[in-house]
Amino acid sequence: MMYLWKEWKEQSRAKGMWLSLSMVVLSSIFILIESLSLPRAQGFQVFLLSLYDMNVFILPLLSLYICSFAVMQEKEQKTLLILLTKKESYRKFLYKKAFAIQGVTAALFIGWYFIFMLFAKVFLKFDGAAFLAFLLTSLVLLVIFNQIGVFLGSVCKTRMQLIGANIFAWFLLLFMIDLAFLYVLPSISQSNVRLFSTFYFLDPLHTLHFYLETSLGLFPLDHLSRLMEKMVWLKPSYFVGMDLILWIVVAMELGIWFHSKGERS
Amino acid sequence: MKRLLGLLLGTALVSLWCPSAGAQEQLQDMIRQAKENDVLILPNGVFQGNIVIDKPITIKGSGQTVIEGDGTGNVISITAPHVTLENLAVKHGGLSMSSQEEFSGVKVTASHTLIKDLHVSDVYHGVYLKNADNNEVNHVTIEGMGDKIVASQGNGIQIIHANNNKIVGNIIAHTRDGIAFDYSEGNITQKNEISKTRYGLHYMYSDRNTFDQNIFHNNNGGAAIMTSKDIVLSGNQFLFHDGSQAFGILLKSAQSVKIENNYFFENLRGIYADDSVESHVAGNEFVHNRIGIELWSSATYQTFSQNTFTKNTIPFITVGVGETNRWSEDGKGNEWGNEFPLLDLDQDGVGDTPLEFKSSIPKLIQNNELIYLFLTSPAISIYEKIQQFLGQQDVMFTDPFPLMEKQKPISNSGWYISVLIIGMGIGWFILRRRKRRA
Repeated sequence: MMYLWKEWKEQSRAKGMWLSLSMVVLSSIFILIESLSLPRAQGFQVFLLSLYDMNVFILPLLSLYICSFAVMQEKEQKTLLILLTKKESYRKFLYKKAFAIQGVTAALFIGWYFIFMLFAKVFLKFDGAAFLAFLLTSLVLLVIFNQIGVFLGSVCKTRMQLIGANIFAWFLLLFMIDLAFLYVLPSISQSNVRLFSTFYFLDPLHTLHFYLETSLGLFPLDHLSRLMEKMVWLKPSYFVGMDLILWIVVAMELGIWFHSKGERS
Repeated sequence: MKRLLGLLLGTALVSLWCPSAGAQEQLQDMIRQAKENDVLILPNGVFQGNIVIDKPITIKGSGQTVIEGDGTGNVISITAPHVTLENLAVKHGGLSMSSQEEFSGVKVTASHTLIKDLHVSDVYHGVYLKNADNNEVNHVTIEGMGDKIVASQGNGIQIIHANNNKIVGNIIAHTRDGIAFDYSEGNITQKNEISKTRYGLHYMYSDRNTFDQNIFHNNNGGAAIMTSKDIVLSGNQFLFHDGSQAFGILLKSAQSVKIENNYFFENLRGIYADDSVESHVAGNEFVHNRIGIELWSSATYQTFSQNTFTKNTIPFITVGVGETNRWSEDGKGNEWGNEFPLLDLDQDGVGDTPLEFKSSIPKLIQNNELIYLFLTSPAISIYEKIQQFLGQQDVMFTDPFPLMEKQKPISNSGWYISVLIIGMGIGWFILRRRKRRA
C-alpha cells in the first residue's frame, strides 16, 4: 500500500502522466466528434472499436514511457538502494513497484473512460456489455504494456538507453511483427495454420483486437471457413487470458533476472 | 354491401365457434363452413394448426390469437387465391428435412393473397411462396431458431417460381437465409429488415427484381446475387457484415445489376463481385468498410460513378487485372475521400488530373484469406510503401474525373462537446491557480 501511495504521489506531481492522460482525453473527444456521423443505433460499437484502434497507437507508448521511467527514477534517485537495504529483495521490490504503477495508471485511464462514457451516452446509443468489453480490452492492453515498461526500466542502465528501448519495443510490437507476418502469410496453409495462429495470438495487439471485435458482435465466429476455423482454435477470451498471464510473467521474470542497478557513478 | 354481409356472417360464425379459454379450436372446421369472401375474426386463444385454406376468405386475429401446428407439416397452407391472413401468431411447423416437402409457417401456392402483421416462429421456412404470383407479404415478423442451427433450419421467406409479389416491411432474424429467391421475376422487396442470418438475401436464377430501402445488418453476408440479371438494388443499407468472408453485396455470375444509392457501413467488403458483367454502381456511399469494393478479374465491364468512399481501409481492389471497368459516367467519377488529395484549380468540383490508385494487397488476398485479419494493422501502410519502392504494386483503378470531397460541416453536437471540454479545461486551470494563490 505504501508503494501505491508513493507511486501516486510521484506520478501526480510529475507532468508526464497528466500529459499522457491529456493526449488520451483529446484523442477520445476527437473520435467521439468523428463518430457523431455514424448511425445512432449501431454507431456505439464502431465508436468503441475506433477508440480502441486509436488507443493501440497511444496507450502502449505512454505505458512504456511512464512505467519504464518510474523504475528508472528509483535507480537515478538512489531510492532503489534505500529500499533494497531494508532487507527487501529486488524481486519483491519489482513486484510491489509493478503493482503500484499498474494500480495508479489503470485507475486513472479507466476512470477517464468511465467519465468519458457519460458524455458519449448523450450522443450514441449506449451498450453496457460492449463498453465493458472495451474497458477490459483497454485494461489488458495497458497492463501488458505497463509490464513491458517495468521490464525495460529494470534492465536499462541509462535514460538514453531506455528511450531507445521504449521506441524499439513500440515499433517492434506495432509494426515489425505484423510486417514479418505479412511476408510469411503466402506460405500458410491448412497444415501449418495452427502454428501460425499460436504466434499470431501471442501478440496481444492481435488478440485484443480480435477479442473486442467478436465481443462487439462485429466479427461473428459462426460460418468460418475451414482455414479460419483452424486459426481460431480457442475462444478469444481464452487467448486474452493466455496473453495476459504470459506477458506479465515473462516480462516480470526477465526484469528480475536481467535487472541493472543503474549507471555506476 | 357484400363486404358488410361477409363481416356480419363472419362475426356470427365466430360467435358460434367462440373458444373456451385455453382450449385448442378446430379452425379447419370453421374454414370449411365459411363461405367465399367471409371474414373470420378469431378471438384471442390458441387454434389448432396444419390448416388448409382452399377458398377466398379473410382470417383476422385479435392481437393474441395463435395458430399452432402439430410439428409435422405446414401450419397454414393457402391453396386458393384472394385469401387474407392478418394479425396472427403462427408457430410450431414441421422441421423435418427428410420429408418430401420443406414445411413452413405459411405456405402459399395461389395468387393475390395478403399475408399481413403475422408473427411466425418455430417453423422451418417462415413464409413460403411457391408457384404463387401477385401476392403481398406485409409487416410479417419471422423469428428463426438462432445461429447454432443455421444449417438445419429454413429461410425467413422462401420464394420459388413466384412472380410479381410484394415483400414489404417484414422483420426477419436468426433464420438460415433472410429471403431466398429461385426462378422468380418481377418481385418488389421493400423496407424489410433482415439480421443475424447466413445471407440476408440469397438470390438465384431470378431476373428483373427490385430491392429498395431494405436494411441488412449483422448477417454473415448481406445480399448474395447469383446467376441472375437485370436486378435493381437501390436505397438499401448494408451494415456490419464484418466476419470471415463477409460482404455487403456479392455478385456471382450476375449480369446488368444496378446498385444505386445504397449505404455500405462496416462491412469486410462492401461489394464483392466475381464472374459478373455490366453492373452499374452509382451514387453509393461506402463508409468504414475494410474493403469498399473487391472485384475479381472475371468481373468485367462494370461502371462506377458518383460513389463516395469514406474511411475505408482500402477503397477498391481488383484481384487480377481489370482493365475493362469504367470509372466515370458523363464526366463524373467518384469521390475517394481525403486519403487521396486532389487539386481543383478551376473549381468545377472535379479533380484537375486523373486519380490512379496502386496496391499490393490483392496479391496477398489471392494467396491467403488470412490477410483480412491484417487489414486494420498499422503495418499495412508500411508494407504498401515497401512494395511501392520495390515496384510490386498493381494499378487498381484510374478515375479520369475524380470528384472533390464535399466539405462536411461539424454537427452542432460536435461544437457542444468541444466547447464543453474546453470550458471544463479552462475552469480546472483557473481553479488550480486560485488554490495555489490561496
